[in-house]
Amino acid sequence: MRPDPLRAALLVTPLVLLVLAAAVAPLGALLWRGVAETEVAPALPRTLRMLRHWDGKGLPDDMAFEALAADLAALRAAGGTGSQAMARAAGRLGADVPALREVLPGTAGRAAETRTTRATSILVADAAWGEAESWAALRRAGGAASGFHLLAAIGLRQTAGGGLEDSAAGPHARALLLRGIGAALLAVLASLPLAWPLARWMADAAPRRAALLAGLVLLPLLAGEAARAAGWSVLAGSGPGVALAALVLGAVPLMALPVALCLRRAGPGLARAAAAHGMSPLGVFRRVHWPLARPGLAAGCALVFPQALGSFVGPGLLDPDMPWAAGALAAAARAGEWGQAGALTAWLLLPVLLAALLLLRLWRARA
Amino acid sequence: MRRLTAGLVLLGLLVPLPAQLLAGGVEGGWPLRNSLLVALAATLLATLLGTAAGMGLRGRFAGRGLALALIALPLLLPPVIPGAAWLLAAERLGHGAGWPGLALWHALLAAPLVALIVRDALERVEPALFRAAAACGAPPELAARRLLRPRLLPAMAAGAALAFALSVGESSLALLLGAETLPAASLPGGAAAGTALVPLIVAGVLALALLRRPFQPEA
Repeated sequence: MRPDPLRAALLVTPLVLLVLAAAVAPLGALLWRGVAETEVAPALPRTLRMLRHWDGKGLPDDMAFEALAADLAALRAAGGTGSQAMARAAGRLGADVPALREVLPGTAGRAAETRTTRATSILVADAAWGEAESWAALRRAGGAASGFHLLAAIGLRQTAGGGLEDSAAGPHARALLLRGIGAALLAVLASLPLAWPLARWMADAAPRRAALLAGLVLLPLLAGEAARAAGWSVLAGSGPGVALAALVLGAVPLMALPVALCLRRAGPGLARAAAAHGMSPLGVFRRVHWPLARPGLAAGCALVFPQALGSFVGPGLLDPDMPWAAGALAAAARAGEWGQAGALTAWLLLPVLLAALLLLRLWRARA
Repeated sequence: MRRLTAGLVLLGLLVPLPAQLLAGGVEGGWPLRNSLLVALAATLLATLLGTAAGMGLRGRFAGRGLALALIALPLLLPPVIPGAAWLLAAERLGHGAGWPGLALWHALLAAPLVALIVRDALERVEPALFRAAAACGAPPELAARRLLRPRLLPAMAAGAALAFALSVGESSLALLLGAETLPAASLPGGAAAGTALVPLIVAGVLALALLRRPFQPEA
């Protein structure tokens, strides 16, 4: 007796609404911070308004220089809040063009002391304002949204001409991401052969023993990453090898349980029949067990890959010197660097989405 | 041979758990209380919403696939991402938002599992029994009550036990939100290194195994 459509939809709605409110909405806000520009616009509003008319070729006209002088003077006049806003804007510009970190406060100080027209005082105060690159960086950072953080997370930056080039931290940023994704892939591949005998044991055992085995396999999963990592650090110390081994072993229950459920549901009949008709053990594995376990394997991979990709507690404890993508994201979030955190989130979600789509196709193809 | 490999893997899985107890003295107190409060709230919410969703997912309705994907979403996200997202939300909503956020997230992690267990238990009820009940003149409500409820309650209890154990052990979000729950406090340098975490989880799993018997052959 199945519930009728209206009743069924009403029963599912509360959980779906809660997921939308407590998972999708915070995630959306975090992703938005990865592209939003919030640092420069509050500090230099007049300049940015003038730069809207600039065609990006050569230097902007005198009005932009005047506006910059006016903005900087206003920031100086505002005292503490003004210098805070200026520091935030300088930090954001410096992350793009390192030289600009010092230019903004320096210009503000020197331009105020120069006795010429305001536009000239800017050029006299710092030669950086004679380069289109500085103005282009200022305009990019002043919009509502930009790809700056997204590009920075994979070690690229936009040039004045619109092209892309390696940023100073480029190789490091890419190594960080690749290491995280590589470790997650390794966890998936290495947990497969480890989980298989365990899953077969659970699937073939008598009911009571199977329940006990399932409980034992579930135990480290439920104890949580922190408990496992603390245990390994007592037993094996720390190092990249230990961190990787702990990551792989932590993934085994997530892989073994869905596979065992799948095989258990299919029952032993087909494999027994195949063996009785003279199929070799390898043949039974290839032709019977593997196809039967495929939905479970897909579910296991779909669970293991994101869990390994996003684990930062264990690696952080067992191998503190090695920066992983998830660890960098956690550190950025703790430091309040939301632009960086949002961009890393986007780059970590991308492989997860790709993997989920791939596995869904695999699953559908069999079912 | 396969049994031996499986036994070794199982040993490898279990060995870090007692080792954690070697790390230091057992200290309950605040982390224990925090963990229990969060876990109780998460269990209650996950069991209620998960059971309703599990019952609803047996039916067909427009958007069922989307609803399924959304319900499974929390399990498929890398754990650091919801941590960062909730840290941002807590910053915006004021720092008190960390605790409800933690309980909510634990509930969302467990709810799909509760839904799965409940749906599975209800699907096992033989459809012929409903036809027999109707043939004997029982009204549909009575048939549903007498046939579904005995399956529903153990499934809900198993789901609740799983949700509780999951919430007590979850560490990523708790650490990021700075919540002093057991796993967060039991890390080296935490307030209570080597805690009563493992016995709690053992109790949860035993309850689960007793209540559910997930590998019982199909009736």
